[in-house]
Amino acid sequence: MNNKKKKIKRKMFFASSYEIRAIENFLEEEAEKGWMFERCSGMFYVFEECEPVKLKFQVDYFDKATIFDTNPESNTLDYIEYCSESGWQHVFSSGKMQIFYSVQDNPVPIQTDEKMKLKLVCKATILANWINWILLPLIWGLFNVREMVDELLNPNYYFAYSRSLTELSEVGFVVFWLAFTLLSIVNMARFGIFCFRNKRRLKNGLGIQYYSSKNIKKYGVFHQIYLISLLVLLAALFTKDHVSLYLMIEFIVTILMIFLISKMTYSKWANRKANIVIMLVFPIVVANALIFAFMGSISRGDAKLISGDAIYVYSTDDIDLTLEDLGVDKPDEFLYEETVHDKAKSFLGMREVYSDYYNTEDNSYGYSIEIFSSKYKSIMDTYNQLVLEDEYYTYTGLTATKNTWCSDQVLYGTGEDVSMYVVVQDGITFVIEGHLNQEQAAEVSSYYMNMASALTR
Amino acid sequence: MPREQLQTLTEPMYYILLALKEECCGVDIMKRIEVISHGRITVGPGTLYALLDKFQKAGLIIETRVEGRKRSYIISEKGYEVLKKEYYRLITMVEEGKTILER
Repeated sequence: MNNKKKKIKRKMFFASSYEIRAIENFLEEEAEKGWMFERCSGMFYVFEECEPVKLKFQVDYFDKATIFDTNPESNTLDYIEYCSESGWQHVFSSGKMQIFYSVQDNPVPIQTDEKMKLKLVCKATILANWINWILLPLIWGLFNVREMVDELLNPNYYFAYSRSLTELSEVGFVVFWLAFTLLSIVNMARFGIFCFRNKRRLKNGLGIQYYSSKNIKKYGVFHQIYLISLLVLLAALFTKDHVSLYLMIEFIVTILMIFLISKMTYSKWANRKANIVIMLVFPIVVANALIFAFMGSISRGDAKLISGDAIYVYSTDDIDLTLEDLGVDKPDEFLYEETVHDKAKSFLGMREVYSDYYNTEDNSYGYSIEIFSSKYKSIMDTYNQLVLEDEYYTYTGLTATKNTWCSDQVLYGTGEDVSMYVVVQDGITFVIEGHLNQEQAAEVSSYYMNMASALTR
Repeated sequence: MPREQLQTLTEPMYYILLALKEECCGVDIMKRIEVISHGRITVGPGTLYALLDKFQKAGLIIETRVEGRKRSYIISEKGYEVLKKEYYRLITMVEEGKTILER
């Protein structure tokens, strides 16, 4: 056995799967410099040190192979055998893509029929790219559009929560999506031009014409600059908004996780059918589990992720306990009264927010109560811990104290401006904050506690 | 619709069918075509594999033997008809060309 470790080099090369001439040239150049191609994934190519050699490379697509194959299936082996008989050594395969090299000066090309070759290349390219060219921008776009429509149809939305289009994070997400979609469209257009131009060329009896190496190199540089500047822009946007930054990181980590797990679970012993299940189902399950695990380290606001998206209700009638009920007089002049009833429920938990505020020119007065409940102890524990560690309260100078006015486990704090009361019961937690004194807070909590126990039963 | 596509044969299709007049294993077809066409036509292994698959599905050739990775084929009656039809079509074309070009 040769124990000497060979030197390995990784190199990035931006070329779409239809730009096979460029990939072939790239691999040939590297071989001449003494680097033999070993494998690639996406735009990352791995080379092993070798004696400089003049080789001919050929990238081909074998229609019957799929990304779910681990070892080449018997059909693929037949095809590889045909190729090796005519001097083409198989080096690498990934999905339909097959890469061969030949030491001969003038070997017979693997595909001699240009029409069939163009068809194969186009089909393989569409299959390899439809997810990031069409599906991702579309789903992502639908989410964005839904959010925008929500905001446009419901003007109260602006006041209810600090979620508006003018907010940096929202702009960031939309910008990111637009930039991503634009890149997809440019890539698709390039591919479309390639297909249509060559279809016409073949009809006129000419051969396939690829984008020149220069053109592809230039486009690769554009690609890099585009992606880097986008990341810089996003980083600049998100440093001003920490919650969005966390969400963004969560998003990126999730995608990376799905990718990694899907790579790891891709097993050498499974057959094609088992791999389809393993590679598609398993990563999604694990990624979801990871999201929940990650949640604990994010923020209380993410309780929304457990309970689902909220339904907003803006009518005053929905607020069962108004400020007037608590003996608070309406101020003579106020800008608006803001009442929110925000309710969301999922199989994991329920979250409700009631609030009633008067906003005067230089102050606001009122209360809000957040009710969170779940059947699962671990979720409740995580939530309670998050509530007690919430940075906002330390920021406003609140210190938690053990309570005396309620037999349940209650913690509360009073600051200069606001007070916070937390009532922790079995499977349900109340967080009351606002401008209330202890008696008022006790009234609020007992009122909602009665209501909640009726609800959860 | 593969059958309609096979109504007129492309050059490599024509030569593959010619080569399969006698039983031949897939890999040797390439060599045989070079001999038949005096080196004028070459069929790449990828193209050959795809066309053999197409022919077999359309019933123009029959698989006769499998030895390890080596598969042998021979032209079927239907394939022979298609080949003959193409052959006569080509002869007609040549003769019609003759009346104009060799006057």
